[in-house]
Amino acid sequence: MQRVVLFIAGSFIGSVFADIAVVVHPSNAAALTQEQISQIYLGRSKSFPDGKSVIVLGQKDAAAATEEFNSKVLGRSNSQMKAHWSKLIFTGKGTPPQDVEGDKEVLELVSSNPNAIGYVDKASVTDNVKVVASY
Amino acid sequence: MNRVSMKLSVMALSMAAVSGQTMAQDWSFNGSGFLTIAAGRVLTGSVDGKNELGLDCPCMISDYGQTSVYDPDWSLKPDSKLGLQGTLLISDRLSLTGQVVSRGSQDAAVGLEWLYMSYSIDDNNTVQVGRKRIPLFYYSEQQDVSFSYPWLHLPPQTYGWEAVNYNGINWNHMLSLGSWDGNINVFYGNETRSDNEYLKLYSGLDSESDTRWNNIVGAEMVMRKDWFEGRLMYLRSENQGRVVSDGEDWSASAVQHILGASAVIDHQNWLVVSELFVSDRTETYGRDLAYSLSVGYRMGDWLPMLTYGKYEQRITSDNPDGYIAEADAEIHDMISFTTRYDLTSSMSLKVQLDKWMDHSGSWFKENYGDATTLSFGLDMVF
Repeated sequence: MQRVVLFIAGSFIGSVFADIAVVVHPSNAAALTQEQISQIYLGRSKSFPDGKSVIVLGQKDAAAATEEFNSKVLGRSNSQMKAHWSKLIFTGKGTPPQDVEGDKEVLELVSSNPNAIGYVDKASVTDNVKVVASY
Repeated sequence: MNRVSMKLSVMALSMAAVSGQTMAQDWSFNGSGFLTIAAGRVLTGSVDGKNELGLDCPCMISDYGQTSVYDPDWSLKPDSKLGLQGTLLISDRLSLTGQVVSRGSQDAAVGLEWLYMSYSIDDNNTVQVGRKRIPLFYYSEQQDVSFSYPWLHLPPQTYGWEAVNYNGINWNHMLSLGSWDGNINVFYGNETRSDNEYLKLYSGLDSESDTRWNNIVGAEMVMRKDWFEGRLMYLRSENQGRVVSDGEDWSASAVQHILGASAVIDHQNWLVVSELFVSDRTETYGRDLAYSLSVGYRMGDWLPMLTYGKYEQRITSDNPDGYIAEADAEIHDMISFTTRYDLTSSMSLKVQLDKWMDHSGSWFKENYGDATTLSFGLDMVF
Protein backbone atom coordinates (compact mmCIF):
# COMPACT_ATOMS: atom_id res chain seq x y z
CA MET A 1 0.00 0.00 0.00
CA GLN A 2 2.78 2.36 1.02
CA ARG A 3 4.57 1.62 -2.24
CA VAL A 4 1.43 2.44 -4.22
CA VAL A 5 1.03 5.73 -2.39
CA LEU A 6 4.68 6.59 -2.99
CA PHE A 7 4.33 5.68 -6.65
CA ILE A 8 1.23 7.87 -7.06
CA ALA A 9 2.92 10.73 -5.19
CA GLY A 10 6.01 10.27 -7.34
CA SER A 11 4.00 10.35 -10.57
CA PHE A 12 2.16 13.45 -9.43
CA ILE A 13 5.34 15.29 -8.51
CA GLY A 14 6.97 14.03 -11.68
CA SER A 15 4.19 15.37 -13.90
CA VAL A 16 3.89 18.72 -12.15
CA PHE A 17 7.57 19.49 -11.78
CA ALA A 18 8.96 17.87 -14.96
CA ASP A 19 11.80 19.79 -16.55
CA ILE A 20 11.10 21.13 -19.98
CA ALA A 21 13.65 21.05 -22.79
CA VAL A 22 13.44 23.38 -25.79
CA VAL A 23 14.78 21.49 -28.79
CA VAL A 24 15.95 22.28 -32.33
CA HIS A 25 17.55 20.33 -35.18
CA PRO A 26 21.16 19.23 -34.42
CA SER A 27 22.44 21.33 -37.35
CA ASN A 28 20.88 24.52 -35.90
CA ALA A 29 23.66 26.61 -34.33
CA ALA A 30 21.21 29.06 -32.71
CA ALA A 31 21.82 30.04 -29.09
CA LEU A 32 18.49 31.24 -27.68
CA THR A 33 17.76 33.22 -24.54
CA GLN A 34 14.46 32.74 -22.70
CA GLU A 35 13.35 36.13 -24.08
CA GLN A 36 14.03 35.00 -27.66
CA ILE A 37 12.16 31.72 -27.09
CA SER A 38 9.22 33.73 -25.67
CA GLN A 39 9.21 36.05 -28.68
CA ILE A 40 9.05 33.05 -31.02
CA TYR A 41 6.25 31.35 -29.06
CA LEU A 42 4.22 34.56 -28.75
CA GLY A 43 4.40 35.08 -32.52
CA ARG A 44 6.50 38.25 -32.20
CA SER A 45 9.51 36.80 -33.98
CA LYS A 46 9.29 34.52 -36.99
CA SER A 47 12.98 33.71 -37.33
CA PHE A 48 16.00 32.45 -35.41
CA PRO A 49 18.63 35.07 -34.46
CA ASP A 50 20.64 34.13 -37.59
CA GLY A 51 17.65 35.08 -39.78
CA LYS A 52 16.52 31.55 -40.63
CA SER A 53 12.70 31.15 -40.66
CA VAL A 54 11.28 29.21 -37.76
CA ILE A 55 8.54 26.57 -37.77
CA VAL A 56 7.07 26.61 -34.27
CA LEU A 57 5.71 23.39 -32.79
CA GLY A 58 3.51 23.31 -29.72
CA GLN A 59 1.64 20.52 -28.01
CA LYS A 60 -2.04 20.18 -27.24
CA ASP A 61 -3.36 21.98 -24.15
CA ALA A 62 -3.95 18.68 -22.39
CA ALA A 63 -0.25 17.73 -22.63
CA ALA A 64 1.61 18.19 -19.33
CA ALA A 65 4.53 19.75 -21.23
CA THR A 66 2.31 22.59 -22.51
CA GLU A 67 1.26 23.84 -19.10
CA GLU A 68 4.87 23.57 -17.85
CA PHE A 69 6.26 25.39 -20.87
CA ASN A 70 3.62 28.15 -20.80
CA SER A 71 4.08 28.76 -17.11
CA LYS A 72 7.89 28.40 -16.80
CA VAL A 73 9.03 29.94 -20.07
CA LEU A 74 6.22 32.32 -21.08
CA GLY A 75 4.94 33.13 -17.58
CA ARG A 76 1.32 32.60 -18.67
CA SER A 77 -1.47 30.10 -18.08
CA ASN A 78 -2.86 27.95 -20.91
CA SER A 79 -5.94 30.18 -20.89
CA GLN A 80 -3.87 33.37 -21.19
CA MET A 81 -2.00 31.85 -24.13
CA LYS A 82 -5.28 30.88 -25.81
CA ALA A 83 -6.55 34.45 -25.31
CA HIS A 84 -3.28 35.81 -26.74
CA TRP A 85 -3.56 33.64 -29.85
CA SER A 86 -7.30 34.29 -30.23
CA LYS A 87 -6.46 37.96 -30.60
CA LEU A 88 -3.90 37.25 -33.33
CA ILE A 89 -5.85 34.56 -35.20
CA PHE A 90 -9.13 36.46 -35.46
CA THR A 91 -7.45 39.74 -36.46
CA GLY A 92 -5.17 38.35 -39.17
CA LYS A 93 -2.00 39.06 -37.20
CA GLY A 94 -0.51 35.66 -36.69
CA THR A 95 -0.57 31.90 -36.99
CA PRO A 96 -0.21 29.93 -33.76
CA PRO A 97 2.29 27.13 -33.20
CA GLN A 98 1.31 23.86 -34.86
CA ASP A 99 0.02 21.78 -31.96
CA VAL A 100 1.17 18.16 -32.36
CA GLU A 101 0.28 15.06 -30.39
CA GLY A 102 3.08 14.68 -27.84
CA ASP A 103 6.82 14.53 -27.16
CA LYS A 104 7.38 11.72 -29.66
CA GLU A 105 5.90 13.64 -32.59
CA VAL A 106 7.73 16.86 -31.61
CA LEU A 107 11.05 14.96 -31.55
CA GLU A 108 10.33 13.30 -34.92
CA LEU A 109 9.49 16.60 -36.63
CA VAL A 110 12.35 18.57 -35.05
CA SER A 111 14.91 15.87 -35.86
CA SER A 112 13.92 15.98 -39.54
CA ASN A 113 13.53 19.74 -39.96
CA PRO A 114 16.36 22.30 -39.62
CA ASN A 115 13.80 25.14 -39.19
CA ALA A 116 11.71 23.61 -36.41
CA ILE A 117 11.63 24.38 -32.71
CA GLY A 118 9.66 22.48 -30.07
CA TYR A 119 9.44 21.68 -26.39
CA VAL A 120 9.31 18.29 -24.66
CA ASP A 121 9.69 16.75 -21.25
CA LYS A 122 13.48 16.73 -20.67
CA ALA A 123 13.34 13.02 -19.89
CA SER A 124 12.13 12.30 -23.46
CA VAL A 125 15.04 14.01 -25.26
CA THR A 126 16.96 11.83 -27.76
CA ASP A 127 20.29 12.26 -29.56
CA ASN A 128 18.46 13.23 -32.75
CA VAL A 129 17.70 16.76 -31.47
CA LYS A 130 19.68 19.53 -29.82
CA VAL A 131 18.59 21.04 -26.50
CA VAL A 132 18.95 24.84 -26.57
CA ALA A 133 17.51 25.50 -23.13
CA SER A 134 15.89 23.68 -20.27
CA TYR A 135 13.71 24.97 -17.47
CA MET B 1 -8.44 27.12 -33.18
CA ASN B 2 -8.81 23.62 -34.50
CA ARG B 3 -6.77 23.28 -37.53
CA VAL B 4 -8.14 20.70 -39.86
CA SER B 5 -5.29 18.94 -41.65
CA MET B 6 -2.91 20.50 -39.19
CA LYS B 7 -0.73 17.42 -39.16
CA LEU B 8 -0.62 17.27 -42.93
CA SER B 9 0.34 20.89 -43.04
CA VAL B 10 3.23 20.37 -40.58
CA MET B 11 4.40 17.45 -42.67
CA ALA B 12 4.16 19.53 -45.84
CA LEU B 13 6.17 22.32 -44.25
CA SER B 14 8.73 19.81 -43.02
CA MET B 15 9.05 18.28 -46.46
CA ALA B 16 9.24 21.68 -48.11
CA ALA B 17 12.05 22.78 -45.82
CA VAL B 18 13.94 19.52 -46.16
CA SER B 19 13.77 19.50 -49.95
CA GLY B 20 14.63 23.20 -50.16
CA GLN B 21 11.27 24.20 -51.66
CA THR B 22 9.85 27.51 -50.54
CA MET B 23 6.17 26.68 -50.97
CA ALA B 24 4.10 23.82 -49.66
CA GLN B 25 2.48 22.03 -52.56
CA ASP B 26 -0.92 21.34 -51.02
CA TRP B 27 -3.62 23.77 -50.00
CA SER B 28 -5.03 23.42 -46.54
CA PHE B 29 -8.00 24.86 -44.70
CA ASN B 30 -8.16 26.01 -41.09
CA GLY B 31 -11.49 26.58 -39.36
CA SER B 32 -11.98 28.33 -36.03
CA GLY B 33 -14.61 30.30 -34.17
CA PHE B 34 -15.75 32.14 -31.09
CA LEU B 35 -18.96 32.31 -29.11
CA THR B 36 -20.35 34.61 -26.42
CA ILE B 37 -23.62 33.94 -24.65
CA ALA B 38 -24.40 36.88 -22.42
CA ALA B 39 -27.50 37.94 -20.49
CA GLY B 40 -28.11 41.19 -18.71
CA ARG B 41 -30.53 43.94 -17.74
CA VAL B 42 -30.57 47.49 -16.48
CA LEU B 43 -31.33 47.40 -12.76
CA THR B 44 -32.04 51.08 -12.23
CA GLY B 45 -31.88 54.26 -14.30
CA SER B 46 -33.11 57.81 -14.60
CA VAL B 47 -35.28 57.47 -17.74
CA ASP B 48 -38.51 55.46 -17.57
CA GLY B 49 -40.63 54.01 -20.35
CA LYS B 50 -40.09 54.24 -24.10
CA ASN B 51 -37.79 57.08 -25.13
CA GLU B 52 -38.31 59.09 -28.33
CA LEU B 53 -35.93 56.76 -30.21
CA GLY B 54 -38.14 53.74 -29.51
CA LEU B 55 -35.91 52.14 -26.84
CA ASP B 56 -37.35 50.75 -23.60
CA CYS B 57 -35.73 52.53 -20.67
CA PRO B 58 -34.02 52.66 -18.29
CA CYS B 59 -31.47 51.68 -20.93
CA MET B 60 -27.72 51.50 -21.42
CA ILE B 61 -25.64 51.26 -24.58
CA SER B 62 -23.06 48.48 -24.30
CA ASP B 63 -21.68 48.62 -27.85
CA TYR B 64 -22.37 51.68 -30.01
CA GLY B 65 -20.98 50.13 -33.19
CA GLN B 66 -23.45 47.22 -33.12
CA THR B 67 -26.46 49.01 -31.55
CA SER B 68 -26.25 46.87 -28.41
CA VAL B 69 -28.54 48.30 -25.74
CA TYR B 70 -29.57 46.78 -22.40
CA ASP B 71 -33.08 47.57 -21.13
CA PRO B 72 -35.10 46.71 -17.98
CA ASP B 73 -35.87 43.15 -19.15
CA TRP B 74 -33.34 40.33 -19.05
CA SER B 75 -32.04 39.86 -22.57
CA LEU B 76 -29.50 37.72 -24.39
CA LYS B 77 -29.41 40.08 -27.35
CA PRO B 78 -26.96 42.94 -26.64
CA ASP B 79 -23.66 41.07 -26.27
CA SER B 80 -24.27 37.49 -27.50
CA LYS B 81 -22.54 36.56 -30.73
CA LEU B 82 -21.17 33.66 -32.75
CA GLY B 83 -18.23 34.05 -35.13
CA LEU B 84 -16.84 31.56 -37.63
CA GLN B 85 -13.58 32.01 -39.46
CA GLY B 86 -12.02 30.03 -42.25
CA THR B 87 -8.53 30.43 -43.68
CA LEU B 88 -7.44 28.83 -46.92
CA LEU B 89 -3.66 28.47 -46.99
CA ILE B 90 -2.82 28.67 -50.66
CA SER B 91 0.92 28.57 -50.09
CA ASP B 92 3.18 29.22 -47.12
CA ARG B 93 3.03 32.93 -48.03
CA LEU B 94 -0.48 33.42 -49.41
CA SER B 95 -3.81 32.88 -47.65
CA LEU B 96 -7.48 33.86 -47.93
CA THR B 97 -9.47 34.47 -44.71
CA GLY B 98 -13.18 35.06 -44.18
CA GLN B 99 -15.03 35.70 -40.94
CA VAL B 100 -18.78 35.91 -40.43
CA VAL B 101 -20.48 36.99 -37.20
CA SER B 102 -24.07 36.48 -36.10
CA ARG B 103 -25.14 38.92 -33.37
CA GLY B 104 -28.00 38.95 -30.93
CA SER B 105 -28.18 42.73 -31.31
CA GLN B 106 -28.95 42.29 -35.03
CA ASP B 107 -31.55 39.55 -34.43
CA ALA B 108 -28.92 36.89 -35.25
CA ALA B 109 -28.41 38.21 -38.79
CA VAL B 110 -25.11 36.99 -40.20
CA GLY B 111 -22.66 39.68 -41.33
CA LEU B 112 -19.42 39.34 -43.26
CA GLU B 113 -16.91 41.10 -41.03
CA TRP B 114 -13.59 40.11 -42.56
CA LEU B 115 -12.61 38.84 -46.03
CA TYR B 116 -9.02 39.39 -47.07
CA MET B 117 -6.05 38.00 -48.95
CA SER B 118 -2.85 38.00 -46.94
CA TYR B 119 0.61 37.84 -48.51
CA SER B 120 3.79 37.49 -46.44
CA ILE B 121 6.55 39.27 -48.31
CA ASP B 122 9.05 37.92 -45.77
CA ASP B 123 9.10 37.06 -42.06
CA ASN B 124 8.59 40.71 -41.07
CA ASN B 125 6.32 42.15 -43.77
CA THR B 126 2.73 41.26 -44.64
CA VAL B 127 0.34 42.91 -47.08
CA GLN B 128 -3.42 42.30 -46.77
CA VAL B 129 -6.15 43.33 -49.21
CA GLY B 130 -9.89 43.09 -48.62
CA ARG B 131 -12.41 43.77 -45.88
CA LYS B 132 -10.99 44.27 -42.41
CA ARG B 133 -11.66 46.06 -39.12
CA ILE B 134 -10.57 49.68 -38.72
CA PRO B 135 -7.93 49.63 -35.93
CA LEU B 136 -9.49 52.68 -34.25
CA PHE B 137 -8.93 51.54 -30.68
CA TYR B 138 -6.57 49.15 -28.89
CA TYR B 139 -9.12 46.30 -28.84
CA SER B 140 -11.08 47.23 -32.01
CA GLU B 141 -9.95 44.35 -34.15
CA GLN B 142 -10.63 41.73 -31.44
CA GLN B 143 -13.80 43.40 -30.10
CA ASP B 144 -16.03 40.51 -31.23
CA VAL B 145 -13.77 37.91 -29.57
CA SER B 146 -14.76 38.53 -25.98
CA PHE B 147 -12.66 35.56 -24.79
CA SER B 148 -9.53 37.52 -25.71
CA TYR B 149 -10.07 40.34 -23.17
CA PRO B 150 -11.23 40.74 -19.55
CA TRP B 151 -14.52 42.65 -20.00
CA LEU B 152 -17.97 41.43 -20.98
CA HIS B 153 -18.27 44.58 -23.07
CA LEU B 154 -15.48 47.10 -23.65
CA PRO B 155 -15.88 50.59 -22.12
CA PRO B 156 -18.57 52.14 -24.39
CA GLN B 157 -17.26 55.60 -23.51
CA THR B 158 -14.24 54.85 -25.73
CA TYR B 159 -15.40 52.01 -27.99
CA GLY B 160 -17.91 52.72 -30.69
CA TRP B 161 -17.96 54.90 -33.76
CA GLU B 162 -20.17 54.97 -36.81
CA ALA B 163 -17.72 53.02 -39.00
CA VAL B 164 -16.40 49.64 -37.89
CA ASN B 165 -14.91 47.91 -40.94
CA TYR B 166 -13.32 49.09 -44.17
CA ASN B 167 -12.43 47.81 -47.61
CA GLY B 168 -8.83 48.47 -48.47
CA ILE B 169 -5.22 47.51 -48.11
CA ASN B 170 -2.79 47.42 -45.20
CA TRP B 171 0.91 46.74 -44.72
CA ASN B 172 2.11 45.32 -41.43
CA HIS B 173 5.79 45.49 -40.55
CA MET B 174 7.26 43.73 -37.50
CA LEU B 175 10.30 45.44 -36.05
CA SER B 176 12.73 45.32 -33.16
CA LEU B 177 14.68 48.25 -31.77
CA GLY B 178 17.24 47.17 -29.18
CA SER B 179 15.32 45.33 -26.50
CA TRP B 180 11.97 46.63 -27.79
CA ASP B 181 9.85 44.85 -30.38
CA GLY B 182 6.62 45.78 -32.07
CA ASN B 183 4.90 46.48 -35.34
CA ILE B 184 3.77 49.27 -37.61
CA ASN B 185 0.52 48.89 -39.52
CA VAL B 186 -0.28 51.33 -42.32
CA PHE B 187 -3.76 51.20 -43.89
CA TYR B 188 -5.85 52.82 -46.61
CA GLY B 189 -9.45 52.19 -47.59
CA ASN B 190 -13.09 53.26 -47.78
CA GLU B 191 -16.30 52.36 -46.03
CA THR B 192 -19.93 52.97 -46.87
CA ARG B 193 -22.36 51.77 -44.21
CA SER B 194 -25.90 51.69 -45.52
CA ASP B 195 -28.74 51.76 -43.00
CA ASN B 196 -26.12 52.36 -40.34
CA GLU B 197 -27.21 50.70 -37.09
CA TYR B 198 -25.09 53.10 -35.00
CA LEU B 199 -27.11 56.11 -36.13
CA LYS B 200 -30.37 54.53 -34.96
CA LEU B 201 -29.10 55.27 -31.43
CA TYR B 202 -29.43 58.97 -32.31
CA SER B 203 -32.12 59.14 -35.00
CA GLY B 204 -34.47 56.41 -33.78
CA LEU B 205 -34.89 52.69 -34.33
CA ASP B 206 -37.22 53.32 -37.29
CA SER B 207 -34.86 55.77 -39.01
CA GLU B 208 -32.50 54.91 -41.86
CA SER B 209 -29.14 56.66 -42.27
CA ASP B 210 -26.08 56.04 -44.45
CA THR B 211 -22.47 56.86 -43.61
CA ARG B 212 -19.37 57.14 -45.74
CA TRP B 213 -15.75 57.29 -44.61
CA ASN B 214 -13.79 58.02 -47.78
CA ASN B 215 -10.02 57.85 -48.22
CA ILE B 216 -9.38 56.46 -44.76
CA VAL B 217 -5.62 56.63 -44.29
CA GLY B 218 -3.83 55.87 -41.07
CA ALA B 219 -1.07 54.15 -39.21
CA GLU B 220 -0.67 52.48 -35.85
CA MET B 221 2.54 51.63 -34.05
CA VAL B 222 2.77 49.16 -31.19
CA MET B 223 5.97 48.76 -29.16
CA ARG B 224 6.62 46.29 -26.34
CA LYS B 225 9.26 45.61 -23.78
CA ASP B 226 8.97 43.00 -21.02
CA TRP B 227 5.64 43.78 -19.30
CA PHE B 228 4.87 47.07 -21.10
CA GLU B 229 3.04 47.67 -24.36
CA GLY B 230 2.38 51.10 -25.87
CA ARG B 231 0.33 52.02 -28.94
CA LEU B 232 -0.12 55.16 -31.01
CA MET B 233 -2.63 55.51 -33.85
CA TYR B 234 -3.49 58.29 -36.26
CA LEU B 235 -6.28 58.23 -38.84
CA ARG B 236 -7.69 60.74 -41.30
CA SER B 237 -10.79 60.34 -43.45
CA GLU B 238 -13.34 62.36 -45.41
CA ASN B 239 -16.83 61.72 -44.07
CA GLN B 240 -20.32 62.10 -45.47
CA GLY B 241 -23.72 61.18 -44.16
CA ARG B 242 -27.42 61.32 -44.98
CA VAL B 243 -30.67 60.49 -43.25
CA VAL B 244 -32.39 58.45 -45.94
CA SER B 245 -35.68 58.32 -44.05
CA ASP B 246 -35.75 62.15 -44.11
CA GLY B 247 -35.03 62.19 -47.85
CA GLU B 248 -31.65 63.88 -47.36
CA ASP B 249 -28.89 63.95 -49.97
CA TRP B 250 -25.26 63.18 -49.04
CA SER B 251 -23.74 65.92 -46.89
CA ALA B 252 -20.63 67.79 -48.04
CA SER B 253 -17.42 65.88 -47.40
CA ALA B 254 -15.86 66.82 -44.02
CA VAL B 255 -12.40 65.87 -42.83
CA GLN B 256 -11.92 64.11 -39.50
CA HIS B 257 -8.66 63.44 -37.67
CA ILE B 258 -8.43 60.77 -34.98
CA LEU B 259 -5.59 60.18 -32.55
CA GLY B 260 -5.41 57.20 -30.21
CA ALA B 261 -2.88 56.24 -27.55
CA SER B 262 -2.77 53.24 -25.22
CA ALA B 263 -0.52 51.83 -22.56
CA VAL B 264 -0.85 48.33 -21.14
CA ILE B 265 1.07 46.97 -18.16
CA ASP B 266 0.89 43.22 -17.61
CA HIS B 267 3.30 42.58 -14.76
CA GLN B 268 3.17 39.56 -12.47
CA ASN B 269 -0.45 39.54 -11.27
CA TRP B 270 -1.30 43.12 -12.17
CA LEU B 271 -3.01 44.18 -15.38
CA VAL B 272 -3.38 47.90 -16.11
CA VAL B 273 -5.00 49.07 -19.37
CA SER B 274 -5.27 52.74 -20.31
CA GLU B 275 -6.56 54.29 -23.49
CA LEU B 276 -6.98 57.81 -24.86
CA PHE B 277 -8.97 58.80 -27.94
CA VAL B 278 -9.25 62.26 -29.47
CA SER B 279 -11.17 63.17 -32.61
CA ASP B 280 -11.29 66.43 -34.49
CA ARG B 281 -14.49 67.02 -36.42
CA THR B 282 -14.47 70.79 -36.39
CA GLU B 283 -15.73 70.80 -39.99
CA THR B 284 -19.02 69.42 -38.63
CA TYR B 285 -19.58 69.90 -34.87
CA GLY B 286 -16.38 69.95 -32.80
CA ARG B 287 -14.14 67.52 -30.98
CA ASP B 288 -14.49 64.30 -28.97
CA LEU B 289 -12.38 63.14 -26.06
CA ALA B 290 -12.56 59.68 -24.55
CA TYR B 291 -10.36 57.82 -22.13
CA SER B 292 -10.44 54.77 -19.91
CA LEU B 293 -8.34 53.23 -17.18
CA SER B 294 -8.65 49.66 -15.90
CA VAL B 295 -6.83 47.94 -13.10
CA GLY B 296 -7.06 44.19 -12.55
CA TYR B 297 -5.33 41.65 -10.34
CA ARG B 298 -5.01 37.97 -11.33
CA MET B 299 -5.60 35.37 -8.66
CA GLY B 300 -5.14 31.98 -10.30
CA ASP B 301 -8.02 31.57 -12.74
CA TRP B 302 -9.80 34.71 -11.45
CA LEU B 303 -9.32 38.23 -12.80
CA PRO B 304 -11.31 40.93 -11.00
CA MET B 305 -11.01 44.34 -12.67
CA LEU B 306 -12.17 47.89 -12.06
CA THR B 307 -12.63 50.27 -14.99
CA TYR B 308 -13.32 53.97 -15.29
CA GLY B 309 -14.24 55.44 -18.67
CA LYS B 310 -15.26 58.92 -19.80
CA TYR B 311 -16.55 60.36 -23.06
CA GLU B 312 -16.90 64.08 -23.68
CA GLN B 313 -18.15 65.76 -26.82
CA ARG B 314 -16.98 69.36 -27.16
CA ILE B 315 -19.25 71.27 -29.50
CA THR B 316 -17.64 74.38 -30.94
CA SER B 317 -19.64 77.57 -31.14
CA ASP B 318 -20.87 78.48 -34.65
CA ASN B 319 -20.41 74.86 -35.75
CA PRO B 320 -21.62 74.14 -39.30
CA ASP B 321 -24.15 71.51 -38.10
CA GLY B 322 -25.86 74.06 -35.85
CA TYR B 323 -25.54 72.05 -32.62
CA ILE B 324 -25.95 73.82 -29.27
CA ALA B 325 -23.69 72.55 -26.48
CA GLU B 326 -26.27 72.86 -23.69
CA ALA B 327 -28.81 70.78 -25.56
CA ASP B 328 -26.76 68.46 -27.73
CA ALA B 329 -23.37 67.72 -26.12
CA GLU B 330 -22.96 64.07 -25.13
CA ILE B 331 -20.92 63.63 -21.94
CA HIS B 332 -20.88 60.57 -19.67
CA ASP B 333 -18.64 58.46 -17.54
CA MET B 334 -18.89 54.94 -16.24
CA ILE B 335 -17.47 52.78 -13.48
CA SER B 336 -17.45 49.04 -14.17
CA PHE B 337 -16.57 46.09 -12.02
CA THR B 338 -15.80 42.95 -14.00
CA THR B 339 -14.76 39.49 -12.88
CA ARG B 340 -13.48 36.87 -15.28
CA TYR B 341 -13.05 33.22 -14.35
CA ASP B 342 -11.22 30.86 -16.70
CA LEU B 343 -13.35 27.73 -16.70
CA THR B 344 -11.02 25.85 -19.08
CA SER B 345 -8.17 26.97 -21.30
CA SER B 346 -10.68 28.01 -23.98
CA MET B 347 -13.77 28.98 -21.98
CA SER B 348 -14.38 31.76 -19.48
CA LEU B 349 -17.23 33.09 -17.36
CA LYS B 350 -17.71 36.81 -16.73
CA VAL B 351 -19.89 39.04 -14.66
CA GLN B 352 -19.96 42.83 -15.09
CA LEU B 353 -21.67 45.58 -13.14
CA ASP B 354 -21.74 49.01 -14.83
CA LYS B 355 -22.73 52.34 -13.39
CA TRP B 356 -23.28 54.86 -16.22
CA MET B 357 -23.45 58.51 -15.14
CA ASP B 358 -24.87 60.94 -17.67
CA HIS B 359 -23.64 64.56 -17.73
CA SER B 360 -24.88 65.36 -21.24
CA GLY B 361 -26.98 68.14 -22.64
CA SER B 362 -30.74 67.89 -22.30
CA TRP B 363 -31.44 65.69 -25.36
CA PHE B 364 -29.16 62.78 -24.43
CA LYS B 365 -30.10 63.03 -20.76
CA GLU B 366 -33.80 62.78 -21.56
CA ASN B 367 -33.30 59.76 -23.82
CA TYR B 368 -30.60 57.73 -22.04
CA GLY B 369 -29.66 59.21 -18.65
CA ASP B 370 -28.04 57.31 -15.79
CA ALA B 371 -28.16 53.51 -15.65
CA THR B 372 -26.87 50.63 -13.55
CA THR B 373 -26.57 47.37 -15.46
CA LEU B 374 -25.74 43.80 -14.51
CA SER B 375 -24.61 41.25 -17.11
CA PHE B 376 -23.28 37.69 -17.14
CA GLY B 377 -21.47 35.95 -19.97
CA LEU B 378 -19.87 32.73 -21.16
CA ASP B 379 -17.10 33.10 -23.75
CA MET B 380 -15.37 30.40 -25.71
CA VAL B 381 -13.07 29.91 -28.68
CA PHE B 382 -12.87 26.76 -30.77
